[in-house]
Amino acid sequence: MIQIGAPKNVKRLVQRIGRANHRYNAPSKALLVPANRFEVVECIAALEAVRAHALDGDPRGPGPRDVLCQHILIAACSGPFDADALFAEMTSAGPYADLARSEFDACLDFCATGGYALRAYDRWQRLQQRPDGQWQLRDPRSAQRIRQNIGTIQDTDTLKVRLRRNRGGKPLGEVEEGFAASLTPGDTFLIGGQIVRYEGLREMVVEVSRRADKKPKIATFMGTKFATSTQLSARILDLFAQDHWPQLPRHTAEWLALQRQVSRLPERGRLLVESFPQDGREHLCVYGFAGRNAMQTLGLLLTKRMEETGLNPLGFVATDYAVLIWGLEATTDPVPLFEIDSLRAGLDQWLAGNAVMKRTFRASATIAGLIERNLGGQRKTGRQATFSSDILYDTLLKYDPDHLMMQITRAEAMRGLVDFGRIEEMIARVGTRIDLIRLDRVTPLAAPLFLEVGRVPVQGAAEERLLAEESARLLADAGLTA
Amino acid sequence: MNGYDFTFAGARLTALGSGALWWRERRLLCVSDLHLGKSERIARRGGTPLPPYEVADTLDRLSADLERTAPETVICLGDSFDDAEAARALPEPARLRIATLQAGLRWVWIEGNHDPGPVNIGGTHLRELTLGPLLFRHIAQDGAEGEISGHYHPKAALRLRGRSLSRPAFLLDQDRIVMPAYGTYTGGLRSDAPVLARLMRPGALAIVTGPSPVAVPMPR
Repeated sequence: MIQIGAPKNVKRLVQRIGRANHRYNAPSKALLVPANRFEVVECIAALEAVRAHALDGDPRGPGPRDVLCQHILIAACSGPFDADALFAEMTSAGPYADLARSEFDACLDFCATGGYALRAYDRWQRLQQRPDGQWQLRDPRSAQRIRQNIGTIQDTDTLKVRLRRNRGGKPLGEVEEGFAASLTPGDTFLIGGQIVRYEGLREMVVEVSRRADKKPKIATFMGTKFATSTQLSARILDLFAQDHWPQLPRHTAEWLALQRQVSRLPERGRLLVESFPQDGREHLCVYGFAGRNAMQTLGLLLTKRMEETGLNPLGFVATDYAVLIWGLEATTDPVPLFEIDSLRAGLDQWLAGNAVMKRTFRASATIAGLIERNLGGQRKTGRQATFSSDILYDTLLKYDPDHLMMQITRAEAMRGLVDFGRIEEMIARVGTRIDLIRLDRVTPLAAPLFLEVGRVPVQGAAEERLLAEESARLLADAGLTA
Repeated sequence: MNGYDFTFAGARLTALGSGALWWRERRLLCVSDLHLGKSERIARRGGTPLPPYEVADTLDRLSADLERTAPETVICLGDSFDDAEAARALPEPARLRIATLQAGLRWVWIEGNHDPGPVNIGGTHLRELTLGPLLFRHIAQDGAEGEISGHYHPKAALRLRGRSLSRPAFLLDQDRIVMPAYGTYTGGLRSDAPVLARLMRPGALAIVTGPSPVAVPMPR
């Protein structure tokens, strides 16, 4: 068993190692491959936790209602059903044991009519009730469409990579859609053991040629992200407090020592915040150690506050231990940004209009059957679906904010991506002991964040300002006047 | 008013951030590709039930533009309805709202490929309309001059310091303007698509919609 990257969670590490040599009376061996120096620390801390039998835990939540909606639609595909019987079947399963009948009915209404405040689809509803009270598909042909879209695990979209004039040939490999979208013709990247030049996208296939003369990009694969557990994060902070680190490889120990020298190492009970310029923009790095989801939420809340105070944030990226925010202005006083009451108040409102909620909405809307990914053999890509799901989200937010899909999104986000409980825990842990350190360049501990994928853009004044600048520059370059 | 002023075929026009075109001298507002009734059409054809609010939302934005500009004439440049059935199935409150917006104005519906033929809504229904130096029609034709058309739902995609932006945009050159789609559930076609790259002359501009519209060389 080879574990690539940090394990995030002690129990998960034990479970994964245990998959090797799957016999009860033989030891399991594993190789841990950390992807950067921070992950070296996390891996060592996790192994120490395993030896000390200090396992972490994750509280379970109620069964997700978007999955329930999909189940109702699939049930209808196999034949007419009785609502009472289906409800009884659902509540016989552990995660849905506490499901209220009203919640079930709301899901059924959504599947049947869309469940909108504006009753618009009575003529074209997907499910209808027969005179005997049973529910069935209004149009039996929709069974095929529904069945083509079964599934609840959201895979990241990948595109095949092929040599340009080799239409029928074997693909060289696959890259994620997000990476393909970042390429312009002429860019080169590594795939299948060779360097290729990006020529363009044709019918969802990345076309390349062998004329590669520039330094190649490396395709990044984002995959799924879990958050480092609270216990493991605490262990890492304790490890930082040591004077020196004999248990770490020399390069990692030196990296930590350098961080201590140029800046500071994060410690329990205090919040380290670094501010520095890089690549023509101002950066703020907050070492919250609250797990990736909570750090992502913190990024959202902080950038919202920064937007309001004219600091022109442009975007952020989060890891389990920090969030890096970049923008046009430097932050000089961090304390007001972390006032818990301000963070709590308006959480709903702040979350409502942004990318993280929209991502959750897109996932839930796809599972619940509002957005179809597969249509008659032609799969829509994530990017095509992202566009339309953003518009749907904005429309629901404006005209039907209590719609079932919005409720489901809020619940899913709070539990998963938002993880506000860990932000509360972080603030309780540090209080007002916030240390802002101003530096003239990136620090050792902040450096890995520049290579993280999953950057979240901030829609705000900064974007309009950049657009105006870019417009002026492009026109000048082309010899045109505005 | 937030808009991008420019001269086209001798007429002084303003591209509004909402995607509408304003001709101050004639007090004329032009919008294109409203695609009202799209959600109904999708449901009718067996698709998923999308939030049925696009008609209200499109009319909200149109109403705001009418209030801001106070025109005497309004031109809807085609594909105003997602299809003929959608126009027929338009709910009563929406019909009344359109009638209210039309009150006291000259309202012209230009025929589109989605909504050809007469539609049972008030106003004048034409295939194309010439006003002074400008010719309004739904789809651009070769060899035209002073032409304003829609149909393609053009978008401009740009890279801004490490992040990309894609927005509906007006396409503009010496001969023609191609309007962005105004309707809420309309998708878009990037300006570097072959059909648009061929249609527009070299040196064409894209006027990007948004809070403050700006012009860029049309991305190819």
